[in-house]
Amino acid sequence: MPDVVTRATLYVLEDLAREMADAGRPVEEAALREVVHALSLPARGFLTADQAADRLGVSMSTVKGLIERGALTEGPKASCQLVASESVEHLVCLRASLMELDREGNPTPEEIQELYSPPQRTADQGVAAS
Amino acid sequence: MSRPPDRGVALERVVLDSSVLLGGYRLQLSAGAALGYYTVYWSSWIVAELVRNRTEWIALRAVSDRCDRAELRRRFRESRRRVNAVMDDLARTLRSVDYAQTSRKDLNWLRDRDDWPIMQTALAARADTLVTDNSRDFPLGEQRNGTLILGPAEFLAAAYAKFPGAEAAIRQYLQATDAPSRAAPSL
Repeated sequence: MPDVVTRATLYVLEDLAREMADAGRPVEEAALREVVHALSLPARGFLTADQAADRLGVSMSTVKGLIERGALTEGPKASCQLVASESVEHLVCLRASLMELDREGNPTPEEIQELYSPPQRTADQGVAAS
Repeated sequence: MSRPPDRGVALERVVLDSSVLLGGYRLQLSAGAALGYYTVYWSSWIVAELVRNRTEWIALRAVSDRCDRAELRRRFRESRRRVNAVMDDLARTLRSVDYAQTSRKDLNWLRDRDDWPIMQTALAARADTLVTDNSRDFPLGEQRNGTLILGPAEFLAAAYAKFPGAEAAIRQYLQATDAPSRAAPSL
């Protein structure tokens, strides 16, 4: 028996869950959705939109916006609302590294102006250049 | 403070000058790109200038704090680790262009030749907007070489006006910080 569940299998289970919902069988629908949820763990490369929202600490509507704008990579079938866990982890890592650099501090606007000011010629350089 | 941009500005293809990646707006500006509101382009020149100026700032701060050599080395080590992590993560978020492939003609309005590669980056990226903190050399609120030049606050205000929900989404994303164990000691 294979120990890997393919994406196609997950989509079949999603379709079945929708069919159960359409048929007015909420218990079966919930059971199938639970199975899909369990099988689409990060180790398998995908997260549900709910899981992505939890991991990022943002709302579901924010996750939907991220999917629409392509900031999160969608699973092959849009209706399943699966996103690539790698794209979620990228956002988590970027936030962590930006925050950590911020904790170190940033130059003030005045310091930035100083850093970007053209080098001043010293008296010695002036003599040497003349 | 520069003029607010016209409503017609796309704010889609954006170059962030190293001066804004160095300052306090880095978080929001980078988050906006990561969350897909606009695409940010940079170049090897911007990366080099950013790292050089950040390192120079660390050294200047150590001098003003009267640090000894051992403390200075510790700060450089810590900074290197943090900068490397950010550069690696930003490299996956921002798009790189080759500034050297663009023409230098029509750049004479920039007095400092060290600023030319910044404008060349904008040209290579076909950027609609250049965001910079260098108000001495770049005329904020004006167009040059087909690119609108804005300060970071003006750019964010324009982006928040153009993309409803962007400000809330960026705030939500940045507020949901990770576990304290990832925090680093301050300098």
